[in-house]
Amino acid sequence: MGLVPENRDHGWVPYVWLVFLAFFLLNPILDPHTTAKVWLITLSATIVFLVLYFRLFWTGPPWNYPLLAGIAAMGLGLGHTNPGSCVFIIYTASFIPWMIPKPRWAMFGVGALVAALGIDALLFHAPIAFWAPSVIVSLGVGFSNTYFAEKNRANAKLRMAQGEIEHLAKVAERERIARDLHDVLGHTLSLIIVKSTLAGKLLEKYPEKARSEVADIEKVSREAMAEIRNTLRGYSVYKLTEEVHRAKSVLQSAGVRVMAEAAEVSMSPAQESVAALIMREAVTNVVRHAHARTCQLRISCNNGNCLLEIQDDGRGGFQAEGNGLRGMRERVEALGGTVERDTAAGTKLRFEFPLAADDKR
Amino acid sequence: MKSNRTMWLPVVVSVLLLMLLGRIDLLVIVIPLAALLAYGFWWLQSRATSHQRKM
Repeated sequence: MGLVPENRDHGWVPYVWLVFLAFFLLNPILDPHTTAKVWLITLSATIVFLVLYFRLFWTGPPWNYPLLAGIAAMGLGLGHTNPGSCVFIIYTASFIPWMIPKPRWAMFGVGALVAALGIDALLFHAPIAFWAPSVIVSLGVGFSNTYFAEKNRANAKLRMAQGEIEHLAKVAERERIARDLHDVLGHTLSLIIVKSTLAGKLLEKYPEKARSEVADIEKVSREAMAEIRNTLRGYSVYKLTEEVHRAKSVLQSAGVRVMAEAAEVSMSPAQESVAALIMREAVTNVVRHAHARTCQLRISCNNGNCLLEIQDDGRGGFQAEGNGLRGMRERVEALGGTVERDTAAGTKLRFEFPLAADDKR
Repeated sequence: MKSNRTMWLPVVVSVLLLMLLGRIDLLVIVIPLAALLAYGFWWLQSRATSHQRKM
């Protein structure tokens, strides 16, 4: 175990501060009339001080206050025997700002110490060599340490805030990757399942069509690999028109009749990517869960808002929100939009987000 | 337990030191003064902390 805690930013500074203890030891060394009693007191006080001093680095409130007052008491009590004991008062003043967290209150603490020194000096006529340096240096050290302690606390807060921002950024990035992977992989795997089932059925009677489906599977798999790579890098940009074509192809492969109405809507790349991924996930859900015969896709512009509707005539019924729907909701809400789900007759999903909001972001 | 012993040891030694000096009058003034200081530091710290919390 070290003399000061290693997990704090003290470094070697507490040991350097001990240099000032020399002033306490210097007095008996320089005075030729120093008695054995004074030497005994000086050496014992040095040991006691060192114990209190290092203990202070390990002790938190409220026990650090008696320890600090102990150092002050040694300063006040030994002034007559060894004026060098003024260093104990100065050490006390240097510790106060680190223990009292607001500059104004810390300065009151230093003031209280100086007041105690004044009482002691007045009552016992302490030598000027003791109280004058005590008062001057304590006030100077008290003021400067108040500044440094406050700066240190501000830096600690800043480090904490930076750590928090880094953590939030990591969480947001993890969530983005999870959401994108879910949508991209879910869609692609569903498409591969549908197409390979179809290819299996066509294999005996229509081998040419089966071969075409297998070629499609290969193409989709290659595209998916590139998309996953881009998703992990964060470079993905999805086009809504391409996604509508893809949706039609997937739904038709799954035997679902598609009715698509796609108006020309001018969107930013970020908005278009969101709209495309929403379309992809919604269509994947129709193929995987709806057991639908028809599906309507509608993209329109309404009062400066983009409106995206995906409606099927499948089994509908209310089900708890899964990863897919949650992902769609998070994407739309990030654009300042809303999601409505109606499961009374089949499932109808309605996404609406403002087109102008992205410029303000 | 051990840490409490370490903490009280300097206090006891300080008192003995002052007694060694033969200045009981000092002892009578300095010990209450130090106790008052300890209480004052604690009070200032709790005031500063509660002030910070309110902000």
